[in-house]
Amino acid sequence: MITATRLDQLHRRAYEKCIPINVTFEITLRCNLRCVHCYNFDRDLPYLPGRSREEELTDAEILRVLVEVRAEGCLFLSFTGGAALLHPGLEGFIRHASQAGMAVTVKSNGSLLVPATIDRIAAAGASAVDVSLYGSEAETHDSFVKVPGAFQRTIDGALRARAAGLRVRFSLLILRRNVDQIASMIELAARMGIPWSADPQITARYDGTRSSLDDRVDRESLDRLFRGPLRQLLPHLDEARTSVQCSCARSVCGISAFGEVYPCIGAPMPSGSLRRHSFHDVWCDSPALQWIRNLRLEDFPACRTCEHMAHCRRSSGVVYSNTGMYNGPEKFGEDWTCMEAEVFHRIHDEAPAIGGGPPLQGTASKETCG
Amino acid sequence: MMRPLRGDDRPLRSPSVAWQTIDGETVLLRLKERELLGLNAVGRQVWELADGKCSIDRIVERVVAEHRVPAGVARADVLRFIEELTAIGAFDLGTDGPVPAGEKP
Ligand code: SF4
Ligand code: SF4
Repeated sequence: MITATRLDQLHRRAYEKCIPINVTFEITLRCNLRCVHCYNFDRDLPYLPGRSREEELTDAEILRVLVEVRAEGCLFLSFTGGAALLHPGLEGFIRHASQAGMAVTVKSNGSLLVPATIDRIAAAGASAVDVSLYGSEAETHDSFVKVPGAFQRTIDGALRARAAGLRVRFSLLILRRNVDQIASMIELAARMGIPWSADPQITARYDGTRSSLDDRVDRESLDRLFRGPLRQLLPHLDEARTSVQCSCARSVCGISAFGEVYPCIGAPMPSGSLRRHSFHDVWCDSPALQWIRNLRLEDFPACRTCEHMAHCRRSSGVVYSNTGMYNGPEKFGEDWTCMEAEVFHRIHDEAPAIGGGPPLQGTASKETCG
Repeated sequence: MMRPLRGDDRPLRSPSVAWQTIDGETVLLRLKERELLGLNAVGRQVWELADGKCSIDRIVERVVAEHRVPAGVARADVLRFIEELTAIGAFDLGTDGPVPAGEKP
């Protein structure tokens, strides 16, 4: 009655059959930090321009959506924000989702992981916490999130969450201002016994402002990082590659704080409102999602003939956020991703065997969340 | 060591396991181990019935009715399945307490 099966096979089947096994649900845009790169909106403003907190989904709406995504096939559910931990209903949402059978992760900036909160989310059934880290020391991290003391609270919170039995993973975001600390951030994570992932890709904001991009690492630093401390993350060289598609709108889906369905939380392309339609109807009938599912390599104007494709880890979400074109860029070099692919190409050419990172066709990761 | 199962045991799916039916196959994900297990149709039925209210005897009856297998075979399969999943922590067993109204023990 029981057979061993593999996660990668499950993801592939979900991709092929368009089953949204990975759903990231942004339950609020509120946050206690003011990160310089925050993709939600410029955190020097009180809220996302043109929107108000009152427009965020109600608890009852969130619970309804949880039932609907579960029925459509969700297995991996992440709550994100803003700071998901600031939502007073979070515990109830976790309980509902985990009792329904979903594996629940809370994405957190770490600074709100105080003992009582950890106990509550663990008891409610969360199994994992992803914690964002921006430096190996307080000065760097705190200048990034613009709140003094945040670094220590994040470190303490990550340790406490792990001690409470949650799976903890650090998401290290790499920017110009912390590029010299990556090695020490990795060392810190290793000392704490916490696995990590790292990403230098950041995006323009939902509100259309682009100052979040000012701090992106340059070519020289990228080259140095992927020959050095991030060598293990260099993607596998894939010379047989015939697609630049992500898992967006197939096995992956995002839901905004206002109930808008996105092909991925990293690709904020409005695809249907859960205030007006059921998740099933949006997932199956949305013209935007169907358009994405039917894209072929020839629909990507720059990528289809690109000499760097075998080395590129293009994320449609990142490209969409930065260029406004999901199947962009229009021309090679219009997005930072192209520069990254050139760097990877050069490193692969010099030592083709290097590369232990994930396969090139991944999901669009969102660089962080509260 | 695990005690022998009894017909009035009422297995309950453990919160240490997430699950979903994907493209017709029910998969269990052991959250700590990140291990994925696939279930066949009978396994799926037992898993879905294991709500802490339904006794093993009742589960066997339901399996016999749905899959038209001899009762002895069904009982042996169901017991082995529940034993295996209990041993890895995917089921908790309960016998104490009242059986909820309307539920055949
Ligand atoms: S390097 Fe740029 S143009 Fe080439 S495949 Fe990647 S995203 Fe497309
Ligand atoms: S913690 Fe996340 S949501 Fe909050 S300001 Fe930073 S990036 Fe934005």
